[in-house]
Amino acid sequence: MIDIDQLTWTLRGRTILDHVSFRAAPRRVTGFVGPNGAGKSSTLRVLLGLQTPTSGEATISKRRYRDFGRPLDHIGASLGGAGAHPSRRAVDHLGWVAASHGYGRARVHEVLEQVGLAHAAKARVRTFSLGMAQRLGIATALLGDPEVLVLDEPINGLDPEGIRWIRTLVRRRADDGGTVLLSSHVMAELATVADDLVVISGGRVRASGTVSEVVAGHGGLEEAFFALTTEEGR
Amino acid sequence: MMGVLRAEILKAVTLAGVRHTLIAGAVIPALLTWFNARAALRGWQTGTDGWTTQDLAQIGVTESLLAAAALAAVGVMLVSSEYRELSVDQGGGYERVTTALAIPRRGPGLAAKMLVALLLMVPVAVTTNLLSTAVALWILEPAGIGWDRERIAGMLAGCWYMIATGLLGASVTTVLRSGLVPMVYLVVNNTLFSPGFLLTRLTAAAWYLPDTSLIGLVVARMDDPHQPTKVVSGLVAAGWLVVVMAVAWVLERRRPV
Repeated sequence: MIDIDQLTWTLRGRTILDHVSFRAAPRRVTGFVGPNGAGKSSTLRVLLGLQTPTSGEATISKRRYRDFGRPLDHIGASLGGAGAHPSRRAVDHLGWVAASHGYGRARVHEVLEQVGLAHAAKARVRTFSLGMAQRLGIATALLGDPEVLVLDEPINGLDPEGIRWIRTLVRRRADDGGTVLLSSHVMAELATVADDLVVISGGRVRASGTVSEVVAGHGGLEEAFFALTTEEGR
Repeated sequence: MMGVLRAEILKAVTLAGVRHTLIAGAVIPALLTWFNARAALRGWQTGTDGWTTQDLAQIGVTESLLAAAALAAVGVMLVSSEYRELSVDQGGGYERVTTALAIPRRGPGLAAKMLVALLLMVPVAVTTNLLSTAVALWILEPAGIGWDRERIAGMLAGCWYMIATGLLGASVTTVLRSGLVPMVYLVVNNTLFSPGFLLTRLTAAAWYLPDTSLIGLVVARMDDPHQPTKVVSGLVAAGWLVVVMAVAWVLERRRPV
């Protein structure tokens, strides 16, 4: 369970997050959608302990990220891209992350296989395409086989096969009892995989609920998105 | 904590730049010593170029100090590598975020990184000192240059000088989150000229600056009544290291990643 409770973050007089509240429940895929600059990544950064909010709280299973002694056992996160040094080989990048939690080398090769990067294990990350870098980031998130997955814009750079793979992965995770929080600025794509949607714009949650609840009263997904996230729509 | 240490060790040794610089720091001074010692011995034996036994006694010492530039580079690289970004075409992003996700407690994470830096730098400092000294003494034996208390004290001071320079590089880079300025400054300081050392001509206080206090560990006694002893220089250098590391600790725990 992910709980975001009245999260506010102001920076140099500018409000980045304005009392953001929502929940991502277990056995559900929660889509977190909004235009670029809406506050999606900022919310996730606060949730993952990378940024301290001005007020409010973001917890995973009732705990702050920084309070987890072995966070990767419980939470896997990919914040866009590989998060790796360009000169490092993929297997070495995953190797040090795995070592931080005592996961063996076998697990590294398992996740590389799972994300379709086994053939590129010994390649340097700087030779990766955008899609491969995304997959490496997701591989890092999967290392601990966590029950909570937080993925920021995971479909960026993925081809249709990759997008279908992500859809299958997150669906299976949720069906197995896990919690999945998936952010994107592409509502149409999220709606095909998410059970619940949280729409954010200008640092504020504009709507939340099941996909059908959020879309209700609008002509369709696109209409709902523009109605909720633009000044004209509101 | 063991997992954090393992992770930091793997991060360090899987970076080719760090590996190569450590090896260069251990070996190149000895090679330079070999060339210089042979030329110096020839000069001393033939009475050309004004070589004295005092000059010969410095062979091996001066060359080994170049390893300080290598360790400064390693210290900077260990930290700055965390902020090296992938290209925009690859989605951008940098390793520091992954580190923060895997090791959310930043204090222990920083402590582990500094400890790994120390574990890598000590063997290089000791090796380069021993190797350069062994080469110098082997070649200069006909001139009666051998082990003495002064040379051993010089080696110990040299080791501390190299290690402290490397740790200073790592600490300053942690504070600045960029390796460019500390890399350029420390490498130039250890190879070409030292701005702090030049400042001692203007003010005695310059002897107590971070880089000058380090140099005070290894430079010969000069005609400057304000020049502190090597012990005092060593203590001042240690003090500066503690201050910069403390600043790095406070900032790392509070700043966003």
